[in-house]
Amino acid sequence: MSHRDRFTTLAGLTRLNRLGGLVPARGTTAARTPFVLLVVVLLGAGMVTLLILNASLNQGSFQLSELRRETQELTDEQQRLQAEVDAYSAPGALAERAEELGLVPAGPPAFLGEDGGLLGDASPTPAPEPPAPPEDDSPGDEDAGDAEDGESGEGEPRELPTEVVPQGGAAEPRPEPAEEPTPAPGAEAPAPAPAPETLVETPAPEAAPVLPPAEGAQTP
Amino acid sequence: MSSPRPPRPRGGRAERDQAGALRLASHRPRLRLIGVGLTLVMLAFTVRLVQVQAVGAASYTEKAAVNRYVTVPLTAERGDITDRSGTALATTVDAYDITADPLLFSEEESGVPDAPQQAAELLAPILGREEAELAELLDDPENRYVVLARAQTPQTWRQIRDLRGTLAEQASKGTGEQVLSGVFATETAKRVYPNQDLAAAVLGFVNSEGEGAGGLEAQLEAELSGEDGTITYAQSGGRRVPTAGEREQPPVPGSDMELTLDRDIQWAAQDAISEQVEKSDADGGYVVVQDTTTGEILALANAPGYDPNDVASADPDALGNPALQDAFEPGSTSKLITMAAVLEEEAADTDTHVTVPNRLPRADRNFADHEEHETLYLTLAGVLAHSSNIGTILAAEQLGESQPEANEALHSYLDAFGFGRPTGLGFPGETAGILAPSGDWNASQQYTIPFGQGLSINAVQAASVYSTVANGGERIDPTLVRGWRGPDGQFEEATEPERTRVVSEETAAELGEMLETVVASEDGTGSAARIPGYRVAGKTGTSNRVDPETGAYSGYTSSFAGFAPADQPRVTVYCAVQNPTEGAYTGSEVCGPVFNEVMAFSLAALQVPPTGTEFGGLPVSFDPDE
Repeated sequence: MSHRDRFTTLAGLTRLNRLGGLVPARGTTAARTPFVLLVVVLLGAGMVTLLILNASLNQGSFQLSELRRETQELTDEQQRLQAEVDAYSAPGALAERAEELGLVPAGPPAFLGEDGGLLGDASPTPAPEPPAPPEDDSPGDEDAGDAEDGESGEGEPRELPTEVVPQGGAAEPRPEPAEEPTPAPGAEAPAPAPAPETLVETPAPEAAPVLPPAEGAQTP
Repeated sequence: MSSPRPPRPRGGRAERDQAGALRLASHRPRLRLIGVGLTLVMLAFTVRLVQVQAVGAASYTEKAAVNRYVTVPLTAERGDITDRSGTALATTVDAYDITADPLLFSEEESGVPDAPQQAAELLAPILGREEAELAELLDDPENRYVVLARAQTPQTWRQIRDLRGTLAEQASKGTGEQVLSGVFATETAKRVYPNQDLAAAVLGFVNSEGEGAGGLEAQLEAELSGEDGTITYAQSGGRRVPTAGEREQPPVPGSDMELTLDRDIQWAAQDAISEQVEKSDADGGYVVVQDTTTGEILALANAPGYDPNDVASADPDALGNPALQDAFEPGSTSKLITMAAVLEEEAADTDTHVTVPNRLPRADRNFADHEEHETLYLTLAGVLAHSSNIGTILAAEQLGESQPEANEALHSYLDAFGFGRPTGLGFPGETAGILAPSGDWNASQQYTIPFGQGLSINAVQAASVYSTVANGGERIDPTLVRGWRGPDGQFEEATEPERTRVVSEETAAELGEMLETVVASEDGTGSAARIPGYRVAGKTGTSNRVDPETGAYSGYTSSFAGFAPADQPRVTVYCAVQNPTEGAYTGSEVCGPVFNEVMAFSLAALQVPPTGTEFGGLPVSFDPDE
């Protein structure tokens, strides 16, 4: 058997040698190591790449869902705040707030014409009996605030009362404007004609700045 | 034996050693048999492979896709409704329906004997419902689905989720019990009206499916609703497979509709009419404010109103838009049309003398004015200023040679001013009013129609008459929608309303002066409408009201219509109060103050300056001895 084996190997070798002498005389063990290494490295690298790819895909999916959640939360928050702003800027709520601050509905406005002349009734606004100042004390304010919230009964009505009442900052300056209008219409001061017009318009921007502190006090 | 197969394993040698006499059959047929067998197997595999991969591929893919791909509908966002400056009057926000599976609250599932009670106790304050009610809903293990609360804010749902999380933590530590594991939420959309009852009658409301069910929400449903889309994606175990292909048909959001209403004027109108209706203990009232130069309706207020955020608890009878859906007899405010006809046909002039007796026998009855008086010597302007029925009948008789001719002439003007046909707003449930053809007018109708009884109109039609006169005799179809902003963000304006000439500009100017006389003259009925600095034109109306229940006259309809500034009109205001029972009932006393308040507010809001001219009024009477 061994004789036979040797014979075959020898015969094979002579055949290969005849083919061009390309094959080294000794066996192929020397050339096999780098090849095996290469294959191992390639396979390993492939596996690692796949792992990293998978991991990053997962990572991305986590990030995606995290961002989605955040977007949702911010949208919810935005809608909540919008509802709050809407509740404050609704004309009915504004009128009530203006009344609380001691403002009265303006009479017909007067205009300056192109020639500098006065158009309209420039006499002081015929203030419809000014609201009694003592009513503007803080307890009265609280009641008014509650009434206002009861009216805005949509969205999250439960949250509104807490916001109007604790306006610690806004409560202090309030008495001042409440007292001021009393002398203005009484003393026949040359109440500038456009003033009544602005009285109606301004509550809108004025009420808005009050919001941030109120809402800031609520969120924590 | 002597030459065994070379690669025989060692076992072979041992076997051979033990059983030296073992004889094997020829291996060739065996090999051939195995070869054939293998070929057959391979063939079977190949055939099956071709069958699965090529022939039946489509059906197998389909079968697989049934479980792998899910299709989820994507709801289109409903468009907002805004006022003319873009402030939202109706908008849509995210909301959650809080639901529960009562089975999960049973003792076997939750491990707590009184889980429904405990859960109800926790949920009641969050959802704002009665504790007992919730407990009853949850204590029903036969049922697998109950709705605990509809359309809750995302904050409410988050609160419940957090509470559930806390309970789960406590349960795992053994310090508490999880009783909320059966609470779920379904995402839905909620229609919100940020200004509560403001313009509710115009806006309407949506049903529980989120479809428009009343008012403009129903009328503009097609534009507002948009088009729903779908998304199809691969899923595995309920999770989306990120790399697998997905198909998305994105929803097309609805258009934002911009109305002609002005939120502030709408509020002023609604506030004024609500107060008056309450004060007069009336059945209802309406105010229409219209821009005379464009026909746009700036305010359409009704009282009593309702809050579209909570339609369920509103009075079902109050859910309409009475300003467009109530037909009523206009009374004296429609005398303006008779005057317009008389002036336009040149049957009389503003200073034509009219002798008005206390009673006027016509048809089967004696017509009278609203108060007893000596024979009056009035001009045509004076007839309108005094709101004399008799004077108006006498003037209308001048419209034709014979009574039928006069009737026909008057009818053509009533028709031209828009009576008896829809206003063109296309509002759901709108009434066209009742105006019989002149040939069908009965004996008394031909004398009552000139002063506004025996025909019915809606409030917008009445306002339109005054806007027509204010606009120099050209009628503009009233409009409620200015335009819409589509999903592409482009603003598209509504089509221009139709304009038709009804009376000449001279006639319109004369009518304006006559109406101004009503307000400015000492003898006029409309002095309540005066606004310092402005020239105001207006007319009162106190008509007998047809009781809708009995069909007979009972009570009054008080109204006031007018425009300002009289010499350069910008705004028309029409006010009507149905069946005032408390205090005064005349148009000037009930609706005059409302008109005054709304008009003054509108002029200020639109920043309309006074024209700076003076007008004392036309002569209202003459001396019969001259």
